[in-house]
Amino acid sequence: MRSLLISCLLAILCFFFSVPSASAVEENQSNDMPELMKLSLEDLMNLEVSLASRTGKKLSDVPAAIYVITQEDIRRSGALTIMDLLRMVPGFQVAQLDSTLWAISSRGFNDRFSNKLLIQIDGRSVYTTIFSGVHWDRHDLMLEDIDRIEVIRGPGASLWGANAVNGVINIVTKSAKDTQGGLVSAGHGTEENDFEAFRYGGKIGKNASYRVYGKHFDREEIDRSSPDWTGWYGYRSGFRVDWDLSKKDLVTIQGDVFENKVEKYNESHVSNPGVNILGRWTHVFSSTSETVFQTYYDRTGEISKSGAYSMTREIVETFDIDFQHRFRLFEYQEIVWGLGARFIKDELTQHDSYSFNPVSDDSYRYSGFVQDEITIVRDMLKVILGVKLEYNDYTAYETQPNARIVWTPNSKNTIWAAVSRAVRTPSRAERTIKLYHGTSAIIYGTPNFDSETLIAYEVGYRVQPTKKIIFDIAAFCNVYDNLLTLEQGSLIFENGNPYMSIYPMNKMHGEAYGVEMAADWRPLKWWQLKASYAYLQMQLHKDTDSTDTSFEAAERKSPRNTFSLRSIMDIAKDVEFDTGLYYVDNLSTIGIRNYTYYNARIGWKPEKNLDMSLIMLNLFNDHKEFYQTPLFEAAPKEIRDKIYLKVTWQF
Amino acid sequence: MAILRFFCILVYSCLILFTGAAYAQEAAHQEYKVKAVFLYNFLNFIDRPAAAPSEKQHEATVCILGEDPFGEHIDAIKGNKVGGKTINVKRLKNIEEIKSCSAVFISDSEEDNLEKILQYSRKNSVLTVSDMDGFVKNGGIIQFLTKDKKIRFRINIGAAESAGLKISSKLIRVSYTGGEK
Repeated sequence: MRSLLISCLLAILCFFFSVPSASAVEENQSNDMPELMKLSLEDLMNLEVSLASRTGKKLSDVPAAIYVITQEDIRRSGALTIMDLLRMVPGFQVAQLDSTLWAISSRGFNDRFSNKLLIQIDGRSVYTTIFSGVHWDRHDLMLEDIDRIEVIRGPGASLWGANAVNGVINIVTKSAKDTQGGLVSAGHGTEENDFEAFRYGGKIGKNASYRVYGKHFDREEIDRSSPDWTGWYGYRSGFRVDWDLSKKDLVTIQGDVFENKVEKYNESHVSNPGVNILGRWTHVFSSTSETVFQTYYDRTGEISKSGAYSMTREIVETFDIDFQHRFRLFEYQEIVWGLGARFIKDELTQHDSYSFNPVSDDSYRYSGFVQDEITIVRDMLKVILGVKLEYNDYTAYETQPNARIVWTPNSKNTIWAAVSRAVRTPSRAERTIKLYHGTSAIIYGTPNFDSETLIAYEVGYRVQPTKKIIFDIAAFCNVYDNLLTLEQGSLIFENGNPYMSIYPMNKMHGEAYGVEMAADWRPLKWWQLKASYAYLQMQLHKDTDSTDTSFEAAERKSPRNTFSLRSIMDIAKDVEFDTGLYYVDNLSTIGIRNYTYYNARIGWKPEKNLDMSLIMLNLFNDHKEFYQTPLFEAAPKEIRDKIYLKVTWQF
Repeated sequence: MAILRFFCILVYSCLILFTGAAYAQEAAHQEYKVKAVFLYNFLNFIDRPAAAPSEKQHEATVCILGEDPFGEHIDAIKGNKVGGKTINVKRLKNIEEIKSCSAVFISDSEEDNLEKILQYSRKNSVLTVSDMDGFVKNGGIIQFLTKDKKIRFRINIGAAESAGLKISSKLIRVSYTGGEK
């Protein structure tokens, strides 16, 4: 607790010290027009602009720890999955523990069932409330169609609602207008038996654009010596239509259908089918006022069959409606407010080791939010106040407020601070599961389990001293309460066998604090370096009457230090050479040693529309990344080097 | 708890009142700042026939037709010099006023009158610039595009020629020639 105080004090001190140095750089120059007018045509064309319409803000103004993975980052990483892309986010904890299992989190509490990170694809939540977490293996998107992945570390609950506790990931795909023409990509390598993707985009009439895509992958078990495995493969297909109904109305309709399958020699297989469709209507009143109406339907499932005997199915259907309105009030306030409703229907049939009571359930969530961005000094000082009020069937009303302040003394420096409250609402499992844990215990979900809460204090500083350097630092102090523990009940008998009954409870509190730094430097026109370092410290404390034995260990299930350095080089006119070095600290409570791995990509563009890449991952160091325990235990598998070739052709 | 709530409301109200007094006008968008500077730059690379009605020795006028997306930022180019000419900025109320311009930025809001505007501009050798979709295809001279959040522009050389404008090869060289829109 003392070191927590010290670090909070340090963060605050750091905040105040950076103020005079920042303001010394440049006097109050809110108007940068004279500066812009000195630029040459070429310089102007290289200037990144924030678009006036709906994408809104300049990144440097955002008062949060935000990191954006661009399409160029995606292409040059050579990564084939969202999970591998997230490894480049400063301070993110990304660990693969088996061929189809990942543990991914932000700011601690990493687990296969990390429950404090919200992820949305074009505004559609893929966070499951059945067990609180994300099925990472099911979202095998067409990476070429992604415009950007916005990652916010820290709470985003006042806008995005419950479960945006430690971070929010927003995956934004390109408009169909920007994916006209055809694209074919294919590849092959170690572990990657084969992968192919196809997309074609065109016009419907004068005002509408469309694209359709399809993709397939076939991947081997990461432990190539494993005897019981035959393969993991998946198909996915989808479309998107963007239709300019009028100059002021844009309608987007998009959908996907997919199925991923794991097959094993012992005749068991698991299949994950899914389908979703989303519609969005944006009406622009003016550059400062617009409404967005969005609705989607999403159905995901898991059908597993082991041996010839048992077959389980889990089907989860989500129906969601959202409305948002943004407008300017009295010229110095920008207000966004919205209303939303979500309906989730599930059917969870009995599994070998667990069952749900009731088997099928409906749940509702209603929410409303308002955010007011108040400009106090134009182009210099802003205060953002927001609150989201949510109703859910399990814990009724949840209030998630947030206050932020951002100071931009000049166009090169941004300093921000925030205080927010966020909650992680109970999952269906925590409320209603019956789970056989080993041979001597049964875990029962209980209606007494309540939301986990967080109060987060954050500060950040972003500086661009020259056009070639960007430096970003964020520090946080998270205070958690009502954290999940598993508490022993009484001894019960089932079929004459004794079992200890165990219940999820909220008998732990704790603190996490840390610093995340990212630097981006372009020393030469053809060479870019990106570095990141993050430090994380967690202290968890059980209540004195708690009998839990495992959850305090989360303190050291997320790495204390992580470091990465990426180099992006255009070594010749048509040759690219990109490398990345990643260091991850040990996870002492689950026996994972620290590790360093190295990625490399050589890209060659023999023609404008043809891209050939040789990608090498996890070079020089086989390592283990995570040990899943205590629930749904999964021993870590060795992550080994893999090499593959990818060819992309556009027409 | 009630005191806390009261305090919060008080602070919030003060904030709103205070800023209301201190604040003058809405903050503008970066995109149009940059586009304004582009407009100013274009004048450097265009030669207008001396016989054009608005061609003056010491003055060049940049006009905006339709809903003005630039706000005050375009006024910053006023008074600057391009090739010995002082720049003036003018917001037009009707099409006939195009006569008095060296270059005209045509806002999205004028899409329905585009044909008439272009015809009128051509007759008076006025450089036409816009960011509406399909602008150069429909006979406009320079169209802004956004590629990877950067501003590009496409030139319709034929349209420039038919208006009697000469565009420097340097501008043509850096213009966008790729596909889409």
